Formats: sequence, structure tokens, C-alpha cells
Amino acid sequence: MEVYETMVQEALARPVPRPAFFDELLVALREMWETPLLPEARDERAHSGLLVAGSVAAAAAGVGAAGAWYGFRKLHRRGSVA
Amino acid sequence: MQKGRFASAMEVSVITVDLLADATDEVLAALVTEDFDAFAELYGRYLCPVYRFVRSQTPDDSTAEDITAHVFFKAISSAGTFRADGTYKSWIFRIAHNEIYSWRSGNARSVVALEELPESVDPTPSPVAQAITQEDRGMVWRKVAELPPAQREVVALRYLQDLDVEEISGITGRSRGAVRILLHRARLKLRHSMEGDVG
Repeated sequence: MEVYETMVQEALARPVPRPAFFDELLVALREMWETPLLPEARDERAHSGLLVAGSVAAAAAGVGAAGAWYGFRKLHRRGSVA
Repeated sequence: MQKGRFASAMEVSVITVDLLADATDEVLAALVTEDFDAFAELYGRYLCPVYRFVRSQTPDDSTAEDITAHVFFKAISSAGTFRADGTYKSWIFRIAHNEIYSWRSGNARSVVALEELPESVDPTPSPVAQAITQEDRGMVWRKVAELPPAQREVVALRYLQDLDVEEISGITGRSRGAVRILLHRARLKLRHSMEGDVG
């Protein structure tokens, strides 16, 4: 690998996610995963027999979880939760 | 006797965590819909690589965090669609690629803002990293940022993730020939621009 390539590799590899971000996102993902199935999703799964419980629950909860994430970010602007 | 035959709950928990830690990405991916800990293990393996990739394509840390969050929301909500005929790594980076393009299509800024170098950097840099000055690092970041988005993306996938042309082709949806050309052009630009700046 040439010198410039090593420098590119090193520069791109420097950023790391904030520890607080790691924890916040994991909590949001767990909540999303644990959200009970909505009745419609449960019916759909039972009907198709192809959909998997976790993915249906997650898909059903996806918008809510993403919304919660942005709400969290609005309340705690970067730096205040680091 | 009971103790000899049955492991305690704590022991089972430790064994489970050990098994997950030793499992391949693809085995874990197959468990995600049933076991959040399997997803948590994948999250631990991929948060940093995905974040770094996204950060290299976006203007600031905050945007990178939001897009990274979306990548993992998608990864968990689409877990049932993962097929083991490809690698989990390629699968999740394809999601990241799609999320970055969605974001980019809604934003006029396709060039990474030069002044916004990453705030959070690895506190335990490698010997090579320690040998590179902050000034050089800023220069390299700017040179990469100045690349057209498609070139910047293949550079990040190649040098950051050590992916080959075939894998990059699968992630970006471009032909192998197109990936080779993008990589070649990006390398030429970087070499020429950096050889003039680095003594």
C-alpha cells in the first residue's frame, strides 16, 4: 500500500461514535424490538405465515422508534449528553 | 446432584453470551428475530464500522449519527429479509449505502463540509496514526471530501472496510468495471493532490 493510501485509511478510521450515542441507540433499538405486535400486524403474520415475529414487531414500531430517536435528539442537542 | 446436572441461570447466561460472541455474523443474523442479544452482538461489531463509513460521506457528526441510527433501525426491522447467501457485512453496508443516498437526494450538499472534521476520534491510535500530524490528517480528510460522492464512497469501502471490488459492487449496485474505474480515478486524484502537499 502506498503512503497516500495508508494516510487515507488512517484518516477515515479516526472517527468513533460517542459512547453516549452507542448506548442511546442500543436502548432505542431494544425498545423497538420489544414493542408488542400491533393487532393488524399480528393478523397479517397469521394470514401470510411468512412473516417473522420480530421483524413484524420492528416494522410496526419502526416509525415510532425513529420518531422517538429524533425527539430525543431535539431535547438533548449534541454535547449535552456526551 | 441438581447442581451437577443443571447449570445455574447465571451460568447459562454466560454460556449464551460466549456462544453469541463466537458465532458468525450470519448465524447471529438468523437469530435476530428471536433473540435481541444476537442483534446486540451484531450492533457491537458493526456500529463503529458503519458510523465511520457514514461519517466519511456526511458533513458533520450529528448527521452521521442520525443516518447511522436509521441504518440500524432498518437492520432490525428488516432482519427477517436477510438471506445467508451473502455476508451480513455486505448486507448492512448496502443499507448504509441506501440511507446515505436517500439523505443525499434530500440535501444539496454533496461535498463534505471542509471545516467539520470529526469531533470524536479514536483515543488509542495506531503507531501509524501517531506518526501522522493533525495538520496532515486534516489535509487528507479534505482531499477525500473533495472527491465526487461516488468516488468518495468506493474509497471509504475499499480503505476503511478493506472490501474488494466484488463486494463494493454488491453494496453499491454498480458493475465491477464501474467500481474499478471509480477507484482508479479516485486514487489518481488523491495521489496527485497529496504528493504535492506531503513532504
